[in-house]
Parts: sequence; structure tokens; C-alpha cells
Amino acid sequence: MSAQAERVVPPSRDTLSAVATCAGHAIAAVAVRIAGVALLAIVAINCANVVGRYFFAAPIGWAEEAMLYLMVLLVFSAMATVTWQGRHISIELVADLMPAAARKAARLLVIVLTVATCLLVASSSYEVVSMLHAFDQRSDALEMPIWIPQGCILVGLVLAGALTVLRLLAYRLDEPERRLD
Amino acid sequence: MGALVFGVLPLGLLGLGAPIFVVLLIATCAGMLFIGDIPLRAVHTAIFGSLDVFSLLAIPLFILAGDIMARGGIARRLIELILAMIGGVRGSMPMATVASAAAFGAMSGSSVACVAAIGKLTIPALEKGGYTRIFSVSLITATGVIDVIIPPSIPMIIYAIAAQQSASELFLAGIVPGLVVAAALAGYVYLHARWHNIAIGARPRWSQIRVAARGAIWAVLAPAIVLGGIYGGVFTPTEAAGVACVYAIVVSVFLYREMTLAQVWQVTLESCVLVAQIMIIVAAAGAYSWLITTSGFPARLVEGIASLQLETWMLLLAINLILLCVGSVLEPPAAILVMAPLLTPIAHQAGLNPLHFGIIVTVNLAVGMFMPPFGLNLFAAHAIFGTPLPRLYRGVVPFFVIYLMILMLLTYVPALTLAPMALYR
Amino acid sequence: QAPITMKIGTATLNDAQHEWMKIFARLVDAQAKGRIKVEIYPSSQLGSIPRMVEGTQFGSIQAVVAPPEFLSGVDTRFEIIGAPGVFRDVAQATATIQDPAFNREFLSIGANKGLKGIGIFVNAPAIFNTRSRVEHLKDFAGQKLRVFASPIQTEQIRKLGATAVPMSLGEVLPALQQGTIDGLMSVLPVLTAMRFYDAAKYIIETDQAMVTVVSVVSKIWFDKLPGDLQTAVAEAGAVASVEVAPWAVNFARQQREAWTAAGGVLTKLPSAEEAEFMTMLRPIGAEVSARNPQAKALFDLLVKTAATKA
Ligand code: NA
Ligand code: NA
Repeated sequence: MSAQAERVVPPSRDTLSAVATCAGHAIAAVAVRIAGVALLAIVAINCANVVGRYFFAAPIGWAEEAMLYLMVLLVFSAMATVTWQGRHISIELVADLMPAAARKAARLLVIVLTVATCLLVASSSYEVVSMLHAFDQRSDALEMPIWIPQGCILVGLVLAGALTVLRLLAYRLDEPERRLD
Repeated sequence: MGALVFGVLPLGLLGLGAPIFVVLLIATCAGMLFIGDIPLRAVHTAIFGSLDVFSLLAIPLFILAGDIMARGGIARRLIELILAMIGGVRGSMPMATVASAAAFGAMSGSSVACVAAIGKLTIPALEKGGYTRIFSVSLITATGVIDVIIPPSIPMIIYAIAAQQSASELFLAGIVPGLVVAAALAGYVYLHARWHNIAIGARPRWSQIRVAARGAIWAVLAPAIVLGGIYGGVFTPTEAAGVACVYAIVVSVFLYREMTLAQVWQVTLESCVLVAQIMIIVAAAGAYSWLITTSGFPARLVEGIASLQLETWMLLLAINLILLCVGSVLEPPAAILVMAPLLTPIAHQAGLNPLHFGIIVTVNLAVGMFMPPFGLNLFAAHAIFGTPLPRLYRGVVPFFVIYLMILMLLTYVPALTLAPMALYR
Repeated sequence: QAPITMKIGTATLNDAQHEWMKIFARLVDAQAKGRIKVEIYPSSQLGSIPRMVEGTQFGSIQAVVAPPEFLSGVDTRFEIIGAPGVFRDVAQATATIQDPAFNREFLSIGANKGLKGIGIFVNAPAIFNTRSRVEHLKDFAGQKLRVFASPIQTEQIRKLGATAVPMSLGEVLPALQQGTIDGLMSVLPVLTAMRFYDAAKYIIETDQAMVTVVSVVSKIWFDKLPGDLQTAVAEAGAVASVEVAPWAVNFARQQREAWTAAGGVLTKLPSAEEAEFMTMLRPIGAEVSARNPQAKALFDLLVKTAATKA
């Protein structure tokens, strides 16, 4: 991956942080590659469907559904990478004005809230996904068990929570400020 | 309690620097647990539902297409051609940006897609031409919403369904407002170039134009193929985004040979990160708007306005204000589904033409897309170009003022929207 | 004590589905004496139909009003009622689906998947809306027609020699305008409400199948209600489905007139071809339902019941 996508981290200070760093990198790298395959698959299905419909009067019945499910997979797997890289969009208007100690406290609070939110929503997500599984509910076109695409949300949220924790273990609270421009 | 959940809590969390999607999800969960008595399972379903929308596919696909065009030589050649042709005119580059966004608007209904694709093409050239990065990014952030106003427009289709109007007529009504926005923005960037004394490029010479044009043939064909395909009935506007990706890959890798397939893969991975940054907010905002819809809050707001028995012009002003506020939190499709059924009866009572009203709604919600602090275009521009949000907030202010003036013009001069219809009939 | 909130959603606005919700709300209010507050959400405000169905199953909303075809992912039996060639006209269809034995059987579908059916009614007959004039069976050949991704619908298109194109509703209008598709299978009131005559002005009233509407409530929610409120909800659903039927017929007539008034054109197959058309499509219901014994049993009951409602 390029320099922008794979950011260099400060050297780890102990084993825990080293392990966390390794694990985080590995998960983030796998996740973004899954997303990449999903995105290229969307491109391929889209074009096959257009060509099939226009030139051969043979549209792909499941094209739309497959592209949408792949988009959900793309978003929630790449979200893991975004989380690991600390690139979630936020407004650092007030935080920038605070003294260093307060800023650290705010960062810790945000981390706690992020993990709590991801796990809270993931737990409700688990209820829905397991019920969809129990009911063997199917999608219209692919007749695919609907718990599979919806399960992407569950897995994505759990990963986001886990990677937020790993990131805290790897970098502590004093990670360097990052500016993209 | 309502004020706490819908106002204080989100703003406080934003101030702490919490990720936007976390802020939206916390507010949603809090609202469901403490106000609505709604099981949290609704959050999961709303998240999936807000991504399982076909027109949203334009976002990842145009982000990828824009990334590849920016790296694979298509963007550079288009810019060289434009500069060779109009480089001698003051403000030509930002004007070309506005024109490109308007043209892009004619082939897409998604303004985030426009920011990604057109921004990738034009921002490097704007910076090269002496414009500051913040001006360039703000320009594309604000211009991108023209996509919602120029047909085809997904929000207009949704308004047409919700207000039982003809989407075709609404499309027709959107043409002049779209052009007015483009003209006003072009006028502003010209003045900006004069005030800041931005250097004028060389006067165009035929020999240069010929050289630039020869190099840019494949690049120029990209928009031609996309527009031709849509208006020739080969593919839908959303599908066009995928076709643009394939075209960009083929031209960059096999014709210009400025990219290898391995580089295409790298660009794909980086696009995925951008897509996730933006779309996780779309997903969380979907859950938040589900809560707002079921909270009865919009209905109370509109009831309050209706009970004031305002004069028509005051009513219009009030409606504009409400729509701006709603549009600043909700994305246009969700906002229309919630607000159109509430507002159209009031507009009808006041004797407003429903198509005119549809344009007022659309333009307001379009402005909301880049009105701080929330606004998907702001977040997208921040993700794609890395400009810090606080700087972007300041940067879009002049554009915001321009849009407000246009909004007043469109609100109080119905002829601007209705005249083309009269010609058509 | 605060009333129990009942959120019910549908995908459309100011049509028979919306009208059903209004009648239902009025009836529940009267029967439950204000102990249930029905909140009505038309035009997909609560999400797309599949999401509203899931929301109902899992109790985040309390009811959804939609064509049963959209519930075929929950149970394939929901789809069989849309089979072509079963009903002669709306009156026969209404009599059939309100027949106590069939009605009870149909509304019990989904009970093991979190849904409780409380009513079904006929919206309107199926028709085709096309860009070019279709008057004969042969005119269907080669047309790209938008349908739902359901076997019963795609099979009809295939037998007509046309191409079935699944496409999301938001894309349909631009696609129709630019000729990406040539037409769609739908019901007339929906097309008039969405003013499709601007993009494709021809409608051929084939009436080969009935588009119905089923109302299902959340079983999790329903089972927790006190007995008298359960009765109130179930009865209101049944009564609303009977009350809305004449309204739907009248509405369809008005919308039919509105279509021609707006410059749209209505055509019909010549009667000889109409018979041929029906003969061609009639086997689809039996073919599709044969894949599943439960679906076959329900389809047989449907056909048998329809035969008694001459
Ligand atoms: Na557009
Ligand atoms: Na905004």
C-alpha cells in the first residue's frame, strides 16, 4: 500500500503495544483488501449487466442486489481500516483549543464512547442477524440468506470496537497529531 | 429531553472530537431508548436500509473513477486542454471547474460523487493556477451540490413521488435554477480572481490547442461516452458511474500507459478507505433520520409555523429557514420524505405552484449539504482532499452567501422555475 | 396511562394502501378507546418495504402494509396470490380473498416468522405501461420490461417474448425517459400518481393478475397486548380490508380517467388474443408453486375458492 494508506507508527514501547500494533496492521490490511475486491466486483457486475441488457437483451437478474450487498461489505470492512488508521471524520474545533491534559482526557472519553457505541449497536445488530438466520429469511433475487449481508454490519461494528481498543494499546493516548494537508 | 438528545448531546460530542458516525449513533440510541421507547434493533435495520439504496452506488464508483482519472493522465490532459483554450481569461480555471460540475450534474444525481470526480480533476490545476487550496476545495464543495439541482436529480424524483408531481416537469423546472447557480458561481470566481490578482495564463494559440486536443482525445471522450450512454438509453445515471470506472482503467492502463494494473489495485484500496469514511456517516445519518422521522419533531415544527398564520412572503421565508435547518442535519432524500408531506399542504394553501415549491425544497436541501457543521459534502471534501473541517467551514462562507441570495431569487421569482414549463407546453 | 404506540408504514401515498391505514387507525381508535395510538407513515418514511417487514418482525415498528410479493423472502407462499389467470375480475378476486377459509389460511403465513396477518384486499389489476403502443401480443416481443425479481413476474415476461429487467424504483423513471427500459408491469393508480404518462404514455390493460395488499403486524408486539386490544387490532384489520375495497375500485376508476385526461393512452388486447394471452400465462401459478408442497396446497385452495366465486 502507498504511504498515505499505510501510515508509519512510532516505535512500540513494550510487548503489549507491539502485539497490538501487529494485530491492528494485519486486520486493517486484510479488511481493506476485502473491500477492494468488493469494489472491483461491483464495477464488473455493473458493466456485465449493462452490456447484457443493452446488447444481448439478457440483464443479470441479481446484479442490483449483489452490487448493493457488496457495497455494504465494502463499507463495513474498509471501516475497520479507517478505524485502525484513525481516519474517521470528526470536527476537531474545540479539542484543538484545549490544553494538552484536557485533550488527552477528551481523547480517552471519545475512545470509550466509540467502543461503547460500536458494541451497543453491535449487540442489537446481533439480535437482528441471529433472528434473520433463525427465520432463514431470503433476499428476492439471489435468494441468499439475508443474514449474510446484514451480518457485515455486525462484524464491521465489532471490528471497529476491537480496533479502537487495539489502537489505544498500540499508540496510548499520545499519538502524534496528523494533518493530511 | 428532546433538546438534549437532538441538540446538546450531539454538539457536545462533536466538540470533543468524536467521530461523526459515533455522534450520530449515540444520539440515535439515546433518542430511541429515552424518548421513543423504540427497541435498538431499529438502529441495525435503519443502517442497513440507508446503505441498501441503488443510487448510492454512484458514490464508491465515481470516487474510484475520479481517483483513476486523477492518477492515470486523463485529468491532466483535460486540464491542459481547458487551459490551452481559455487560459487567457481571468478566472478561467475555477470557471471551468463550475462548468465541469454543472456538466457532471447532467449525468449524475449524487453531489458527493461530483465532489470526488470533478475535485480530483480540477483541484491540482486550480492550485497550479495560483488559487489557494482552501479556496479550491471550498469551491468544489459548494459547487458539487449543483448536481442535486441540475437534472437528473434523485432528490427531485423523491420529491415528485412524495408530493405527487411529475418528475419530468420538475426536471424541466430545475434547468434554469441550475444555470443561475452556475452563472452566479462563475461570476463570483471571476471577481475572486480579480480581487486576488491571480495571474492570467497565456493567450490561447491554435498550435497549442491542437497539441493539447490531440493528447486529450481519449480524455474528452470520457464525459461524452457517459452522457451519450445515459441519454442514449444504454445505462442509467447510477450505472454510468461504473462505466466511467472501466473506461478510466482502460484508457489509463492500455492507451496512455500511465498506470499499471498493480497501481489500479492500490488506487482501489485507497478509494475504499475514502468510501468507508464517507458512507459510514451516510449509514449513521440514516439511523438518525429514522429517529427524527418517528419522533414527531418535524410535524410539531411545521404545525408551529402553520399556526402563526403568516403572510405568504413571510411563510416562504420561514419554510426556507426550516428546510435549511433540516437540510443541515438530514441528507436530501431523507429530508424530503419527512418534510414534503408536512409542507406541501401548507404551500398548497398559500397558493404556491407545487413545482416551484419543489425547486425551493431541492435548492434548500442542496445548500444544507455544505452548510456547517453537518453536511455530507463537507465531510466528503475533508476525506478526499484532507482539508481540516474548521478551515473548510470558513472557506465555504462566501459560497453559502451566494446560494442564499439565489435561494431568495428562486423563492420570490417563480417565473425562473416555471417559464421553461410554459414554453414546453 | 400513556397509550400504546403503533407505528405502521407503507411505501405509497394517498392511495388504497394509505387509505387502508387511515381506516384502520380510525377503527382501532374507536375500538380500543384511545388505548392504542396508531401513527401512520406513508411513502417509505420508515424505510424500504423489506426493511419495514424486518422492522415489523423484530418489533421496531408494529405493522407494514404492502403487496404480498414483497414478503416472499419471509415465506414463498406470499407470492402465489399474484399468479396470473386466477381471477376474472376485481369483484371475484375480492370475494375469493375474503372467503373465510382462504383468508384465515393466507393470513396465518409468517406466524412462525414474527408476523401476524390482519387483512388483505385487492389494490388493482396488473397492467403494462410502455413507451410505444402495444395492442397485440406480438408487440411485447423484444421489449425490456421492468418487474420485481420474483419468479411469477419474470416468468410472465419470458412467456411474452419480452425481457424482464429488475430495476430499483428510483431508477425507473429516468430509465423510461431515456429508453433504457421500454416499459414496466405495475398497477394503474400508482402510475398515475407518479405521473409516468410524461415518460411513457401507453398503458395496455391486460388485467392478467390482481395486485393485492396484505397488512401484517408484529407478532412480538401483538402477543404482548391485552386480549381485548388484540381483538381490537385484529378486527380493525379485517374490517378495514373490507371497507377499503370499494374505495380502491373507485380510486382506480378516477386514476384511469386522470391518465387519459393527462394525454395518456389506454389500450386492450383484442378479445381473441386476450384468451390466448391468458391460456399462455395461466400455468405459471401451478408451475411456480409446485416447487414447494406448502405453496402448492395454498395455490390449490386459492384456485378452488376462486372457482366457487363465479
Ligand atoms: Na444531477
Ligand atoms: Na449541512
